[in-house]
Parts: sequence; C-alpha cells; structure tokens
Amino acid sequence: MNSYRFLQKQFLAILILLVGAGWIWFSRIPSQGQNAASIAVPQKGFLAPGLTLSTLEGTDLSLLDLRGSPVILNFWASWCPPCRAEMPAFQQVYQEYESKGLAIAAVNATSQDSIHDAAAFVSNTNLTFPILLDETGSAGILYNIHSLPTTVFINKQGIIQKIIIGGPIPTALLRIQVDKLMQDEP
Amino acid sequence: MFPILNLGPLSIPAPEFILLLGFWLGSLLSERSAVHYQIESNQIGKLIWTCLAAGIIGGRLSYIASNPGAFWGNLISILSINPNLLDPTGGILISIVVGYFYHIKLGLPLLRLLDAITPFLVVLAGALSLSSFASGSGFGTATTLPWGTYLWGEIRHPVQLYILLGDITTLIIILTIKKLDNYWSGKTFLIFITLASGFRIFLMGFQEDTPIIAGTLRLNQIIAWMILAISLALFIRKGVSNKVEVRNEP
Repeated sequence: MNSYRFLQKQFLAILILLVGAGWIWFSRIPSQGQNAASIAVPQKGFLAPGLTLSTLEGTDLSLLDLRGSPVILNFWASWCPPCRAEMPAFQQVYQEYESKGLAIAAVNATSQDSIHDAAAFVSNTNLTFPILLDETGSAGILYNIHSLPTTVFINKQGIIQKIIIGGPIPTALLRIQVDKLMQDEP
Repeated sequence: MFPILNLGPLSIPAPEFILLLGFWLGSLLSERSAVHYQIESNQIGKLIWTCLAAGIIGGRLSYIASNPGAFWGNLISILSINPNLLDPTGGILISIVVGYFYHIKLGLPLLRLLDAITPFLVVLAGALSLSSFASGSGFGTATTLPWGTYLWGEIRHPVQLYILLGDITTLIIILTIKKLDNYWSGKTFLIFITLASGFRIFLMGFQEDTPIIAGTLRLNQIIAWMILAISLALFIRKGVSNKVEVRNEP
C-alpha cells in the first residue's frame, strides 16, 4: 500500500511539473518580441516621450534633436531643496562627459515655479547645460511627474534606461548611470 | 500605479513604504506564530531585523564593490541614503548568510525556524508584488478582460495583483496549516515554497516586464518551475521516510 501511495505521489508530482512546463511553453512571448521600444511612455524599457520646450535663452529644444546622444532629463524647481542640492553634481558630471557626447536637459517645472527664481538659481550655480521651461506643465504630465526631482536616463536610441524619483542624487550614482548610458548597457 | 503617496505635506515613495510595511507586518505575524514552533517570538524579531540591517549594509557594500571607480573622489556618496545605491542581489545573499550564522548563535533548529519565519516570507512576497504595482514595474501583457488596467500605453493584466492574491491565498493556507496534526519540521516552509512557485509559474505567464531567455521564454517562470520540482521531490522524499513529529500546542 505504501509503495502504491508513493507511486501515486510521484505520478501527481510529474503531472504537475509537466502541466507547468506546458504552460511555460504555451504562454511564451511571441517570437516577434516585445514592442516596448515602439511605445512612447515614461517607463524603463520604453521610448522616451518626445517633448519640445523653450529654454532660458529663448530658443527651442526638442528631445528628438538629442537622439543619438545619451540624455539625462532632470525635472526640477528652484523651491525644491533636493533639486537644488543635486544640481552641482549634474554640472560636475556634465563637464566631465560633455566632450564624450552626454546631453543633460534640466526641465524646470515653471508652471509651479518662477522664471526669475529659476534663472537666478541657474546663474548662481553656474549651470551650463540647457534649462527647459515647462510653462504649461505638459512635460510633467507627459512624463508622469509626481515628485521633484525626477531624473530620467535615456540611451542613444531614445529608450529610457532608468528613472530615479527623488534626490539629491549622489555624484557616484550619476557617474555610474552615465557610464552605463555611454556603454549602452541595459 | 501610484509611485508617490501624498500625506499632507509629505511625499512618500509608495514602493519603498509598502516594502517597509510588509517587513513590519510580516515580522509581527511570524513573532506571533513562533510559539507554535517552540521558538521564542523575540528571537524571530531579532533575526529578521538583523537580516534587514545586514541586507542593507551588504547591498551597499556590494554596490560599491561593483562600481569602485565611481566612488573615488566622492567618498561621501557611500553614506548616501539613496536606495538606488543598493545591489539587491548582493544584499539578499549577505542577508541570508548573516541570518544563517545568527540562527546558529541563537541556537535555533533550522527547519522549525524556517517554518516560524514563513508568514514573514509570504507577507514580504506579497509586499514585493504590491510594491511593483505601485511603481508600475513587472507589468502584464495586453488584455481585453474587464479588470484590465491601463498602463504604459495599453490595457494590461494587473499581474502584480494576481500574484498578490496568490500570496494572500498562500498566507491563509499557511496560517491554517499550523492547526493540523500531521506536522513535521520544515513542512510549513515547504508548503509555502510549493504554493509560491506554483502560483508564479501560472501567473507569470501574463507578465510582459520580465527577463527573457531563448528569445521567448520567461526566466522567472523557469526558475519557479525548478523550485517547484525540488519542493515536490522533498515532499515525496518526506512521504517515503514517513516521519511524523508531534508538535506541542501552547
């Protein structure tokens, strides 16, 4: 009787495993693969949504113009203490990597900030990368910004590699993420 | 998806908050059920929180060891509270190692200890699923089902919630199991492993945000299948040895 029950249990276990293996095969992702790279949404693995905004200098800058370069998009406001605290790190990294093709665009949440305060902060901190003005809040909505600062790391193909919500981002972390962008690491 | 919880003037990152809550709730449950496995509840608490501390420190050390050059000239970054400077895999491994040696120091029987911390593990697994749902990661494949949620450009299976339901079911079974008579050391933990892996083999079939191997197969499903195979083999082996321990009721 004991050996019969043992055989029963073995049979049941094998059946469960076969059903499991069958399901793994049946539910496999189609060979044409995932289409994340063709959908523009603010999430890792997807295409970064395009945006075109005015800069502090009065010109327009489009994210599409930066395609082919690794890009860091940083959403900030002058009244936001961690945003202010991390800007020197962004400037330091920009100076180190600009010649290697890195682009940084700091999107100021102008709809909840003042251009005057933003410009004063940029001037006092000696930031040299483009400052984009999100005057209508549309960029914040497009990128699902719930908290400031939020930093988006985008590779040369325009695919989002990482999103960091909150800050200040330490310089070491910025360097590590930039190095990965430069190498096109996932 | 709800990455930020706004509570008055506070903006709390929801995924991390959910994990902490799961940690706390899970350890509470395990402390309460520890007595059924003849283990003192405060020993469970000490072990869990020691493993948490070890995991955080270990995760930071592992991250630094993987990227030493980035920290030269920025040593202050080592002390940053930013959670993105943690290596989860390294942290978990170090946590397990520390937990193993700490259990020896406390003089606890390993299999009964695993049974006692099983409620903690189940709750933590559920918290991980809910945390993923909050952050929008681990999202599901496209669906036309009425309970599909719009996320990342499509109506998708809320697969993180499916897995959470699976973990809740597992927790109910686990909390019921300790009332049964045919208990043996390690049974509760093995039941958890079997159920958790079984649920995941099925439910991860609806997950799109997942590592892939051979171009089409989900790696996590395959790992869950291997774990299920091992746990079923252990159940059968236990059945052969036919040992039943009498567990003392409090």
